[in-house]
Amino acid sequence: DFILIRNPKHTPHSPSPIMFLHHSQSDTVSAAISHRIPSSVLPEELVGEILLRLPVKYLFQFKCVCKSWKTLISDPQFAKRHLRIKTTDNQMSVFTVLEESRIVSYRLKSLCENPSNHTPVTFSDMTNRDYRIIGSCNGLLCLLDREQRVRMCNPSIRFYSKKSPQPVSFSCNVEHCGFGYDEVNNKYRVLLVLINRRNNSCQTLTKVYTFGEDSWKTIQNFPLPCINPLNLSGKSVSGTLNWIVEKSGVSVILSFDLEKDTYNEMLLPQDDGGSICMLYVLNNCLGVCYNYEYFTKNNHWIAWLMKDYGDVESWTELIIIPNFRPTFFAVPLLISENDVLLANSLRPQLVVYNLNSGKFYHPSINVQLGVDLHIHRESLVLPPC
Amino acid sequence: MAEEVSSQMNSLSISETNPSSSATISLVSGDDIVFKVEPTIAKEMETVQSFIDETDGKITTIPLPNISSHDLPYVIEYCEKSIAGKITKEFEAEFVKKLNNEEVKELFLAANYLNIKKLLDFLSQVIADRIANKSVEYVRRYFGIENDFTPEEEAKLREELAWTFTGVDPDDEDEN
Repeated sequence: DFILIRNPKHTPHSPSPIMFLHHSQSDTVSAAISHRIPSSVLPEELVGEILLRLPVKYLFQFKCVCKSWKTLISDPQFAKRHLRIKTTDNQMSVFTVLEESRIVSYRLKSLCENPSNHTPVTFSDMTNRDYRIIGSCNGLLCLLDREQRVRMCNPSIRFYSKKSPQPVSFSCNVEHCGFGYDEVNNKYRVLLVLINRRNNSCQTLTKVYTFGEDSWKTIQNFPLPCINPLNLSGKSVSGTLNWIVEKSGVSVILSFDLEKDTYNEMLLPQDDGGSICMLYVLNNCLGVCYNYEYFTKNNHWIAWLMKDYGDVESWTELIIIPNFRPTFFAVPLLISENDVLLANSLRPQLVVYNLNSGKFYHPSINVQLGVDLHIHRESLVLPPC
Repeated sequence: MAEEVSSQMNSLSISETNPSSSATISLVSGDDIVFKVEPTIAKEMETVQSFIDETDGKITTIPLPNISSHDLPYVIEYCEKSIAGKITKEFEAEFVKKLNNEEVKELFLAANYLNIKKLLDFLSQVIADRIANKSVEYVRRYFGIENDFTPEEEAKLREELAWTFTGVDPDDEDEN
């Protein structure tokens, strides 16, 4: 059904042109030349390999090339393969919400290469909604408004989920939340820990919504209290959501399995020793960084990465910066192709730190960013919802 | 008679355990030019290596009818760098700088024919980078694709996707 002109003699990944030697070894070269065919047309498998490496915007343009390209580019399997290709800096952005209703993004490349004025690209103005972003996964952002309605969007392909379901009808606050992907069931899910304070009582309710199934499920509450007030959104990695919690005076990772709806605990690589420890995700691995304050003796910054999710033996020291001068607080957002670390540093909000030279700057941004900064990798993913 | 061209080779890591494998391999391009290469280079080309293995190393002259003498030196150069562990971003940038879009396509086909995974991945990205921001018409010509949309279908689709059609480069490439 592919309309490219096929090269009849050319089968990719097959040594057939050489196999033919067996039959006419005496006259190999001249026979080979007589079989030479023009090779200016690429076979479909190879075209697919090239298309997988194109940014989303161009793939959308190239749906107009021919029917088979349109079919290929619209195929969910192609979207999945596109996600697995190694990303380039061009495909990455930082998303946040400004003025409580404008979803905006900053290109990673521009932040990491240029200290001066960065103007955000506005994805959408959603007036009267007060949305915040609670997670970014496979190119999708999960949004939560003040009435706890959740929505999903894919800014690269201008997709919005139509529904905005609400977990409960009464008024409550969201204490913790998280958004992630259950690969086993191919489902995107959102978790909300809701607190209802009424008549001097405090009720906690934990709800999970599965996009595409349109149902809220009540699950077991967090077995342990979260300790970090800034750590509201669970970090999504390998089909789990992760928070730092306290267990008998020690910080541990609480992990929620998005497939089985179960909780697990995992040890951190080191004792916090008076630091603020924060989780982050880098290259689909869970990490934790320790921010020591200026006035303590340990005036340094350490970032660990768990290479193999779930295996505490795989904690690896990723970066140590002694006398971390830019700021005492930083949570990694991304490391660029040129070994430049982009981190969320609250005040000022971003720091760009060259891991090779130790040079840094704070990208100048004219507006106040929220605490919730989300790294977004553009994708073609169009989920059921 | 075939003209012999010796490629510039790094005499690296020739197998010591198997003396027969140190014999030079002759690669014959489609236009009948012989390129003598070290067996380590041939190893990078899975198609060539599997043929050598099948004949127990007895045959060392290998015709590559689909590859021209223009493309083969590039392939050999890339394999040499690969063996030396010297494939850097700088090398890759220099490597493709000299090639126009048609030449990149030819080389990509050669890499596929010889089954050199690294070169194939690299050139896939090069082609992707070069066709990004090109017009739909350019892409059709480049891939030899016939437009099978009716004018109405195409107009409708372009309207739906209008937001993606900003900043497309004009078709002023030399190879057109």
